[in-house]
Amino acid sequence: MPELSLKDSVENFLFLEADLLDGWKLTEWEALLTDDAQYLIPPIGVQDGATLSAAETMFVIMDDRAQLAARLERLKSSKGFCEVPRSNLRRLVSNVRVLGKEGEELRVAANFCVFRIRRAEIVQYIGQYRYQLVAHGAAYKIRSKRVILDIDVLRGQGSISIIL
Amino acid sequence: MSEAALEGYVRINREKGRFMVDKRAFYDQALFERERAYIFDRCWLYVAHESEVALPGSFLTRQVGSYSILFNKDRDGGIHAYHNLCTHRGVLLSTEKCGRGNTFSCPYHGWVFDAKGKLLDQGARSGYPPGFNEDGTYNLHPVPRLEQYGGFYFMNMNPRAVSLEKYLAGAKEWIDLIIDQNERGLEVTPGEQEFRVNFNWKSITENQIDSYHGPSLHSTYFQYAAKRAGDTPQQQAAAYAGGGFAFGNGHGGFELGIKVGKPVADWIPAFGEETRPLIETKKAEILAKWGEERGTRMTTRTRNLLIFPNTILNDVLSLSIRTSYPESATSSRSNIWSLVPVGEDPLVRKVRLQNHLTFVGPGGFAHPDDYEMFDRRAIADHQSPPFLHDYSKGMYPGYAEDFMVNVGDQSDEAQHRAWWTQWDRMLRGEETMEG
Repeated sequence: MPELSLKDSVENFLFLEADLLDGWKLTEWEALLTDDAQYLIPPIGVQDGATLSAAETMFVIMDDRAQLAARLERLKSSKGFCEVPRSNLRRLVSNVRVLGKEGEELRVAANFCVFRIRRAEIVQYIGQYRYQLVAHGAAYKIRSKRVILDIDVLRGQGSISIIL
Repeated sequence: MSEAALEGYVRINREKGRFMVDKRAFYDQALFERERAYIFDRCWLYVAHESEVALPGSFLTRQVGSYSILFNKDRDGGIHAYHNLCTHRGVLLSTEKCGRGNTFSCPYHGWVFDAKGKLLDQGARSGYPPGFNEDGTYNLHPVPRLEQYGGFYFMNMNPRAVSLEKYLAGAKEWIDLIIDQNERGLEVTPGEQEFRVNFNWKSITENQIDSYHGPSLHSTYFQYAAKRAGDTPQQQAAAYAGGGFAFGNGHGGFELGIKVGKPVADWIPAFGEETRPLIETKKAEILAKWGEERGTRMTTRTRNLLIFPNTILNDVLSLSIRTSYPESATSSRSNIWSLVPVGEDPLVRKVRLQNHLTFVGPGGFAHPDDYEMFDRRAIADHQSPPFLHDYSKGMYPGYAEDFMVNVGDQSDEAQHRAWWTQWDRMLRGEETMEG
């Protein structure tokens, strides 16, 4: 079998991640994170979501590893009422590109559309992921995931109650 | 909407100690127009904070109630609020959320206005007599009233409305507790949170002055908060103690001792050791300046203030302003802005923003659960028989207190009763807030 190209290996990893999140396999997803991982959602309706700093601007989510762990614990519990019962999720991930490589770290961009299906309503989150991935065995770990939303207003419940 | 139809939304039975609200208040189609005319067009509505137009020539556009507003500062420092439309054919004048500029031009026929609203140019000059705009008819239309308190700008569509200061009544004391936290003033940070939802605006509004749903609905947040603060669950529960207050004119809120960390001056371990000296110095300064009692309230007590009908100031794990407006009887739009001390140390700024996001906003640990409840209520509204929501907590048989200025335990509903009483009076035209 021919060796996978860099792009293929990154794409495989992102597709695996998408599957875990759509399947609510949050423990398995957490295992993809580095110990210093960050999960960021910049404000909606801005043009510079890729470069904004969460230290100066009010984001929607700025999780360090500890806060992300607490978020996952909350979502796994029966008291995370916003997802009781859990919504059906499906995401399309495409246009995967490796933007750069510095040492062990890859900078990756991918477009996404996440569908949240709940009570006969479909909410769509459309945007672009920006990842910092580090090589881990034959695959990768996520050091940073930045979710840049193109939608200019949150509809439905006005929340982001799932991991995008 | 007939007068008779307005009877019976709010049902008070003092003898039994009951205060109830018909569920129809959360979805009646006819209420949407009635609220617009009798509440939103007669009350002071929050427009923006002065820091958002700090520089001369800066402007922002914002929807306030059902109006698109152009809020700006002219070259001489004058602050204005205009209806955001060209006076020629009523086209939206500015489509930018914010920016800089000393003129506003409409691309349709080329009409141009200056920052003081004056029509400068009609594009095509022929066909207009000299003195066409001598009486100012074609200048930008200012909102009837624009006033500020402590840098918070409010507008009122009723030219005869009471002054903002009189309107705010007892709520001013709590606004002052926020303003006085920083000598150099406050500013709004970049990054606005906006969302639209499929339920009535009052679900969002009343939730903001309801503290006692916290331990039930937000247990996942409070577990995390206790960990961040280094508290045991028992310490945390004890600190929940506080009061609910009504301030007159429908304003109200609650104040608690719960320890969630206040970046201004109440350090918790989750803020990190490097911010500790900065935050503790600030706390000592506030206590020295404002005294033990008021200083302690400012630094360690937390509060949510609701200015009737829909402006909320959260002085809890951060400072924030929010508004919620109806888009229809069963859909709403809400915005949240984060307010920060001018000149705050960048380390403290970072923990402030992070602390804010543990709880507040679309990605917070609490907000999505609240909104799930509002959604479930909206569903139940259409699937239940005639029904009254209960707001009686803290009342007793033979209750004789004045709802408008009542106080109670934080877990009581005195502040809700004040809000609903004002809502009911204004809706029926018994109260107009003029004078």
